[in-house]
Amino acid sequence: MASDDPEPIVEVQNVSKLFGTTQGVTDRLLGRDPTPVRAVDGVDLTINEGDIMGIAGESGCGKTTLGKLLVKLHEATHGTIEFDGKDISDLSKTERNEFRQRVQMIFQDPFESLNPRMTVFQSVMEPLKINDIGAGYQDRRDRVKQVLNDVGLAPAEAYLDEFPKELSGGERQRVAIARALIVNPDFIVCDEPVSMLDVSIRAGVLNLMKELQDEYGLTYVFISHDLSLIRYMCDRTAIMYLGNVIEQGPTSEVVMNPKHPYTEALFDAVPEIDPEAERHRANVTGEVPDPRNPPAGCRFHPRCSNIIPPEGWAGSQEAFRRVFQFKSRVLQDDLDPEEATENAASESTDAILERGLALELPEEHSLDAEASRSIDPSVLDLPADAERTLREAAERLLEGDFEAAKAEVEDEFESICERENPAVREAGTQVTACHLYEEEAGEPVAPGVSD
Amino acid sequence: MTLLEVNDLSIRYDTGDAEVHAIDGVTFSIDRGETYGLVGESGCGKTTLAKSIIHLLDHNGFIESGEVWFDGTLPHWEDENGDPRREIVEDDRYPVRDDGMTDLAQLDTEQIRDIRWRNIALIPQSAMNALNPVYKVGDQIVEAVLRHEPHTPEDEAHQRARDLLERVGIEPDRADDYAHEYSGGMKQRAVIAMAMACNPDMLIADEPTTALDVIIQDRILDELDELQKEFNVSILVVSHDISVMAEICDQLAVMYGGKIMESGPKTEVFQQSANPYTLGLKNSFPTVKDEQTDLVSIPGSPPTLLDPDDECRFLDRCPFAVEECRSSHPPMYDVSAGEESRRVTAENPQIHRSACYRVDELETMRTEASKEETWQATTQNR
Repeated sequence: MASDDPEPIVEVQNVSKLFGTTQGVTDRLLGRDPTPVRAVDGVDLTINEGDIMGIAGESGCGKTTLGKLLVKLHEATHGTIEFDGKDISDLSKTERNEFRQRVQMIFQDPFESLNPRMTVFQSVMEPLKINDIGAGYQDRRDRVKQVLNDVGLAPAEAYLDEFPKELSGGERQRVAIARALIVNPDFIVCDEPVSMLDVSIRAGVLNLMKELQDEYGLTYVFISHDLSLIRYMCDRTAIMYLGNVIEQGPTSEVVMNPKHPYTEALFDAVPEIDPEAERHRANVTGEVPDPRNPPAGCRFHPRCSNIIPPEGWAGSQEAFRRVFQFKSRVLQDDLDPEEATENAASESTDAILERGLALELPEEHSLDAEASRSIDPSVLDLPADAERTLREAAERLLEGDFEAAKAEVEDEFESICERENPAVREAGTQVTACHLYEEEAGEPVAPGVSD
Repeated sequence: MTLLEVNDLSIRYDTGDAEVHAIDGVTFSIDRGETYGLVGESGCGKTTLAKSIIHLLDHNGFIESGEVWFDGTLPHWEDENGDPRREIVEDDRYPVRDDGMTDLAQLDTEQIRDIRWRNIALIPQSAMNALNPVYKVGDQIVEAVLRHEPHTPEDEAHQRARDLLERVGIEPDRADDYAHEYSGGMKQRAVIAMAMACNPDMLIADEPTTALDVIIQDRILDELDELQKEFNVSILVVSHDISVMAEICDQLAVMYGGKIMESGPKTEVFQQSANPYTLGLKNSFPTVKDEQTDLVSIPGSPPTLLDPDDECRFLDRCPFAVEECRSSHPPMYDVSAGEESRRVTAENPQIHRSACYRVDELETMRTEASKEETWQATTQNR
């Protein structure tokens, strides 16, 4: 449904939204600086007129915050958002009123977003009153009937005087859509619009949204954690991780030919309905880190399967991934020498290496001899000097000198991924923020990277 | 070997003026080591059905009729091999059958407590909130162990808690942490570890991954799969997510309006779907990687189940309804006989069954159901 000549309707430039920037009482007493949550951090996004732009990601990645920024329910901490060529943080009163009419939002939960004491007619008419549209009661009533018919609540007369509690979930969400549509907007942000609805009802609401897009000439932003819905609905998709947009492009390309390792893992993790479908499990370790204190460099690097070895690394990428993990564990006091050597058959430094190098991965991604959180280091082609460093660190751990152990590994095994936050670059039809892709070329450049 | 056999079970909720027929004449059975899925939309009775097995219904819910035979019995009815003693089996006052199965539906509140956790453990729907915030996670596991195996020395119970946590991928030392110190995925793992504490024969997993993100969900499903292989435990999974079910189940029952509409081995239910409701459901479910087709929703909305009429529960939304559907809700028919255009009631609950009078017209229904107009026609008629 993309128009042939894409014209941007919304342009987001380097937008950040920080929460918790004010000092709390305890912070003030203890003289601490506030540590804000960087919910959205340096996002660039262009939404073309007539498109459905999907925003996907796990919970806490900032997708809802970004949606609210777009409709001015939050003010951006940094950066600018332009709607139809105008910066939305700098609007005059009349411009703001116009903006409020042209931009609408549909919320997740139709059980909460409708006022239980207002009838359908009152709810849907309210935006007309606020925006001062329509000549008198009868005209407004006609408009309400028209829009209710459009959203599939026909005959409208049967619904006008109902209260939300008398409607089913699907009907309520249709009322919420009608409320957004009645002021004839250009741009609608839909935040998980069908996640509260049952499967058999959901398809109807989704199809309705697609039909209305044609009829009313709308541009949507469709926010969802459900990747199959994103695939079904959206022309273009942006994938978010910890406040960053890490990949965006045409939806089918993003799904079938993902560039960023996180995108790949995300889509691998979706179960398929066909019981015979061959599916890969997601090749990532650990969980999403705390957004108050995100990792340096690329935010995904601690979990990434494709972390790039430094120049001059003599071993394989798989070996480096595990060595890097060892280093992170030492630096975060996550490698407990007592626990590693307890029940271990081998010499104690070996035991620490065996534990520290092992990754917790689904079976298909782990190496042979990597099971129950232990790996035989000899199956990895560790370069001799790397192994020496690791053994030194393990010795220090055994002696209980954690600081010395940290000093051993601190300046070793440096990946570009932890040093530099990758700028957005083109990769095929997508743009992605990943060091695997050269700033200009689209081919993987790192040594030892497999598909 | 059959572990659980549910016969003609009906469950009601008393609402004062009327009764909600949450479950109506449901029959199914689960083998040892099998994963059995109950799938359906909200309000179809899937959670009620799963919880009724171990008497965890809300205060106004009760078993109206039916039997829940389980291969396992109360500790003080057992002999040294864990089978019920001869005199218990022969005495009619005890709900124990000749083959040693016990009818859980007839146990009283005190008795069922010995079955819960020891024989059948529950992984609750909001596992995120299932942990007690003021006790250490490890202590909560120890509590369960000591309740059911009171002779276990305390340090042994603590060691077991640590081993269980380690088994599901949590550092044993985290046993001394509180629930709020765990991430969402870890809480879910801890609850699974807790359910395994007394080495049960069956787990009831109520929406085990619903609140989790896909990547964590992926790992939890992997974890359940491994546990099952290792301990040969049966799992009864309740979920609304068809794709999760497609992935983990061996057997599957599709529920609607308190009835099982279709059940059988997973691949048959998905690939040779025979019930109009299943066919409609498949039309309305998007896939990520397969070819994209237009989704078609099932018109109308699910029934309320307040003193329902005797007609087929799906009648109002079904494009294939005929006069016979008004007479009563159809019994479960054998689908393989249906493929040969015969209508035979299914005796074995493990085979592919469908509750539809037109089971002998499968070809026509399947072709018609794949067309969008078929489903739209129903909307316009109404």
